[in-house]
Amino acid sequence: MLGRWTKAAPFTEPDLGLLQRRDPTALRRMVNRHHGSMVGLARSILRNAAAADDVVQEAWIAVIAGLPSFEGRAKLSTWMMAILVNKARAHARREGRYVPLLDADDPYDEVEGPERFDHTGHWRVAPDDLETLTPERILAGREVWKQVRDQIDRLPAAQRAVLILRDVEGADAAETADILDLSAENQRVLLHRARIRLRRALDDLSHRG
Amino acid sequence: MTCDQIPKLASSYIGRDLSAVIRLKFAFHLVQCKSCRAYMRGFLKARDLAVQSLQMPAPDALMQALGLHEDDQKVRG
Ligand SMILES: [Zn+2]
Repeated sequence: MLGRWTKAAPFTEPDLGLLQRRDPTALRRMVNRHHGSMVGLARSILRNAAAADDVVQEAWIAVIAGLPSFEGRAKLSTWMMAILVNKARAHARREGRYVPLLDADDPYDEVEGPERFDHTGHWRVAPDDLETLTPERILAGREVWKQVRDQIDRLPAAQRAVLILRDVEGADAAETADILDLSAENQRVLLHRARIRLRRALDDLSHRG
Repeated sequence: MTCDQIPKLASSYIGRDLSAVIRLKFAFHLVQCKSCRAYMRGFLKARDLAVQSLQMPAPDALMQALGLHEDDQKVRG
């Protein structure tokens, strides 16, 4: 029973040898696989879309140039995300706009708040299991994947950054806290808030469909 | 355990980050409660959708800037 709920989403590592030999197909696959995460993370740190796009491009150039010397001590995706975060921070500092990632004031307790439950603590309306949401499905005039991406963009910056590193890039708690310079407890709380917010937003979306 | 506690603990549960006693209470509630099983299925589905939504193709302009655009390679090849 436990295994069914706790098993991790599959994360496959690309063939490092192909990447280090600059195989164009492998490089393209790597860029496509991680570009959305890079953009989301850069926007969490820079809070300026144009600057984030510049930093992401700079990070990709550094990643591709650095691949031959990548020794595999960390997971490839974790190494790439660390490069991106360092570049984004350096950029923000240069512009005098560096803000550490914290969002203690987020009123997340209202996300699955008391109005969802009756006086005995049971659901008033059973939650949707979201099984009918597929990325390509059109709901309210747009593909589901675009709406999910919008919801991720709408998360508070620190929640978005943690969600991307943990759930999209498969980094563990310690790696995520380290890359984002967060305490272990903050990392845990931000991930929890991000996940229940996204889950709630998708529940609302599926009821609209 | 009641349903209103499930969202508060869901993230720690899938991360195996709960004490043994709380974890068992959580698992026991899931066995008994169809609504909370739906909640948890949706919780994992939301994570899968997040992964799929961020893995869409990168813009052509970026691929060109990185020298990886397929058309460039055909010209060079
Ligand atoms: Zn329940």
